[in-house]
Amino acid sequence: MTLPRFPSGSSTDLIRAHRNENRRWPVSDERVLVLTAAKEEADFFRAALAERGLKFFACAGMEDLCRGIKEGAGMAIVAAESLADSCGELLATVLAEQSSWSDFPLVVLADGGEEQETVWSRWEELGPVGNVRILARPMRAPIAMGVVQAALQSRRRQYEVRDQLLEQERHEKAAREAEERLRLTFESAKDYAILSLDLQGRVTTWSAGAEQIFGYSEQEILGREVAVLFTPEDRKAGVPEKEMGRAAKAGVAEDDRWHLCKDGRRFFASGMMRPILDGPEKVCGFTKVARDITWRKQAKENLEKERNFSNAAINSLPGIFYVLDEQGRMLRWNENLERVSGYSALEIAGMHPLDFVIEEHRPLIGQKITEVFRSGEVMVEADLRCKNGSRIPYLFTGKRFATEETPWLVGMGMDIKAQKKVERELRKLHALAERRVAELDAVIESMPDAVYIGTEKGITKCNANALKMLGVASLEDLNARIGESGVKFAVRWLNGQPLKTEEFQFVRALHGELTIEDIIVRKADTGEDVYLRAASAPVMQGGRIVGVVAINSDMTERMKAKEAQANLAAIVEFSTDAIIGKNLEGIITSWNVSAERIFGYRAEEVIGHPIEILLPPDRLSEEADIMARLRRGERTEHFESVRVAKGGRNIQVSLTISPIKNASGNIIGVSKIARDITEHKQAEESIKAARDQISRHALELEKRVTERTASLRQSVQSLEGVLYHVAHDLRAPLRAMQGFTTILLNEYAPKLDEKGEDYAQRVSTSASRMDTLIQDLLRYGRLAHTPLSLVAVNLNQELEVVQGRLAEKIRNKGAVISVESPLPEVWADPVVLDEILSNLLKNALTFVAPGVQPKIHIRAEPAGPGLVRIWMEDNGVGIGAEHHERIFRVFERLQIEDVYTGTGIGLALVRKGMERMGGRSGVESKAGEGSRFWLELPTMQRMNE
Amino acid sequence: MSDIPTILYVDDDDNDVMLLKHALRCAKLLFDVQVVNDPEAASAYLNGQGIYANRELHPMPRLVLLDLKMPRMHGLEVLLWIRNQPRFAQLVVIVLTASNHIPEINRAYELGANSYLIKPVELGELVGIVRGMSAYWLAVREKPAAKIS
Repeated sequence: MTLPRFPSGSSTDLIRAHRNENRRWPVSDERVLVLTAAKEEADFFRAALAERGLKFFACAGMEDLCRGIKEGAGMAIVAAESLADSCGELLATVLAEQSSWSDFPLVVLADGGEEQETVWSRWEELGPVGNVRILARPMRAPIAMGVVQAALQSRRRQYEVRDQLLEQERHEKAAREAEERLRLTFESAKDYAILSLDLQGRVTTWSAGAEQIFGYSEQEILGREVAVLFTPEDRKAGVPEKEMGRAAKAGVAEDDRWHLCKDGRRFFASGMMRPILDGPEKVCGFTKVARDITWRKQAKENLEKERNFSNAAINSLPGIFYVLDEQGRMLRWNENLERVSGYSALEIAGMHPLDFVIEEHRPLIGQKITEVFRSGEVMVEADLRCKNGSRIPYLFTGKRFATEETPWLVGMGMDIKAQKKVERELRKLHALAERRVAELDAVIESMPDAVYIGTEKGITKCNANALKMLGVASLEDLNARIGESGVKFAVRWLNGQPLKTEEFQFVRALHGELTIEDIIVRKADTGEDVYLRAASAPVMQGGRIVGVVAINSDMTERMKAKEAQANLAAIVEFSTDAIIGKNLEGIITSWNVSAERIFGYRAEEVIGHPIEILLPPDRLSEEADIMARLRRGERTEHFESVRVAKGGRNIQVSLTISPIKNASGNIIGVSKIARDITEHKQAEESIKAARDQISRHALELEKRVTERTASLRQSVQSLEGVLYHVAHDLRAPLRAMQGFTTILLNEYAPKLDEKGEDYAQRVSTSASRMDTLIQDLLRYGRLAHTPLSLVAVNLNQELEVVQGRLAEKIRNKGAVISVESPLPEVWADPVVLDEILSNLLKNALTFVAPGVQPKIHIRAEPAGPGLVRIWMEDNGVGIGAEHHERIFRVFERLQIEDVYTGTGIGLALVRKGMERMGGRSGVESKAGEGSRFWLELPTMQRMNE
Repeated sequence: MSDIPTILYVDDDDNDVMLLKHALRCAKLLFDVQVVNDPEAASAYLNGQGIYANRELHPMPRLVLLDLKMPRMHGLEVLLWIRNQPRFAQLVVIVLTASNHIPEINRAYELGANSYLIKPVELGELVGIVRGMSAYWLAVREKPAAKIS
């Protein structure tokens, strides 16, 4: 059995626990040891004990019995015989040695009478060993068992004592240990002063800690009144007594106050006084435990101060202030938060940060809070939601800071309502400014003049007219030309003198000058000169020049107009005709030199006077007629009349009268040009006579021409008749010759011999050939005489038509014809041109050396103004230079008939046709080197001019 | 009335008549070729007057081949006359002449010629011409036997 591990608890508990644990004794403690030599005795007890549920243990001998006693047993039954000699002594020794609580019950079996006395005497010999009974033989079970039960009962009592003793011993040990622990604690608790007092307040115990804290040694303090440890004030107020009283009454008295050390130093102690009870309700003294917490108090005070300070600080913040932890608990905030949100401190303490923002901003804020704890610092705009439901735009900040692993969020919120308003205002202002700029741009762009806006750094804005006027592509281009190296436009005064840098209107405007001047600028792109009226003005802002606005008007047209006007004025002034201006009322408004000369009046004599002074009395109505015509918009030209010069002389005049219109087309006056035709009239008479004569000659000539033409036409007609007859009548016999020889050859061949057949063949061939000749001649004749109709002909199309017609021949010859498209349109008769091109192409295909693939190239080139030369180049046999003209004559053939076929009309047709169409033709060639025939025709272009 | 189509050939040149008949033979075309040598005879034939009154011998032609240059009257006058007779409205008139004078060709078409053919010198060409003419103008009335193979 181990000692109970009871660090605390009362001894009563301890015993109870033990009892509970050992309600029954161990079996060995109740066994009945039996030592007897008689077997029947042993059996008797065995049976009797078993019958009563008691444990029987038979011992082999005294030693065995003694061992059984030592090991534990309820009692022993020993036959008297067994106590003899040393056996009895051994038993006596064992019994003598038993524990103080034990008085082992022993029952000796003895025969009655004498033997019992022996037993007692023997027992006396053995010494003072009690608790022995004698059971007389012969035994009877009820007596024997009564004895045994009694013995066992006494043994049980002994056991109880034993257990009590054990318990007591254990308790004492625990108390000793507890006291030792307490003592150790008491001694080692250096931070605590532990002392005890008697009822009079005198110190009875003094711990090492007390010595350390108060400075008094145990010897010094023991027996002294505890009041010495209190401050004089407290002593005076009876605090020590009161404390003891409170402790006695309530069981404990808290003791937080200033105490006094031996050296007079004060310290703040936190302590507790408890009464020492000596029995219930009976106080026999006090213990006092005190701890120096001066530092803690100071720290607390500091903390308080700090807190006050920080409270003051955070409450003085203009915005709201808050500290949260990661769980979103509101740890600290300033009064502003309460004031702004309308929530009380108590409410806020139970709120989540998201409760302070409007619904729609909560996800954002939640996310931002997380972000603060993750990344450290965040700023966000959201609407604060007040208790009364109103919302205020706020800028919230959050910064993570951590104390000992615990992260906090500290942040502020600023009311940005005003700022938002300012932002809105700014946006409005900005939009307004943008609109103003756009308006300005529109104004600038819509101005007919060139507009530049700039600073000393260059032009910052200009309109399209500006770029156009200076002939530059872009603003950048313009600035690049103005650049540091000076203006790269040739800018001159009207007298041609170039402007110096400091003379530029723009530059001068930068210095505050306002200028309007005329200059000449050479355009960057075309190089032409433009006259500009350059106006520049500084842009002032707050009394400072911040830029320049320059406006250039293109004066070129006006200058030209001015020049033209000057020219016109000179023309008017120096015209040999009198040029007179008058208004609609007939008042003379202008009068040139010739008017002075012709009419004899000086300008100042007539200007302002009615025109009637120039009219002879019989022609006064003429003026009204003229005016009436003018009003109808009619001009009066070369109207011959009579006017009166100064002095009354009549002058023959030719009058041209035109209206003078203002810009809007209204007639505001009349210009009258009067030519003195007095001399002219006289000259005219003689001219008329001459003209009559000429016209008589001309009539005669015309008549003669008509006659000739008629006769010519007649001869042409008769020629046409001849041609027609030739065509029809001359060919009829040929057809017959041809037709019948063919029949002859086809159907009468068996009757003809070879020679006959050859002759017939010759007749046929000759007839064919003659037919061809006749046809060519007819074509030539017609070409020479038929009237032509010249129209625009597309040469490409025409050539395609011709090639199409000759397609078979081209294919047979394997010729390659290349045309350099596009060829121009020419002025020609399509039929004739077709004939010409056909002939040339046929020639080119025909006159090729055997075995040579004909290659023909057609191209065109300009041949002087409005003329085009069409070349047809071949790789044929060529023509010697001496033949170049001859070949264009009728029936001229160079080649022998056997080799090349042809009638000798083709090139004559070409030449004739070209001549008739007003063109020319020719050839460049050498024998054996191919020919280059050319045709020269007017192009459409020329015809259009 | 015979099934063989009748052609009235108006030409004063006997050689040309012979050659045409030969060409028709060569082309294996079966026609009843009636020939008159001058315009007056042509109008008499068409009117069925005098010797042409018997339509058994001188049937009404389907087609008239007309030369232009003939004695006393020009072929175009015959054409004009034919085209002025409503009863000959269906009559095919083809000019067959030596002249390739453009104004004459234009005039012929203006007056209502169905075609204008120029007499070729080569007999072979004439055969080709009559073949084409027959195929184009008379195909409908051709007998199967006379069909061009």
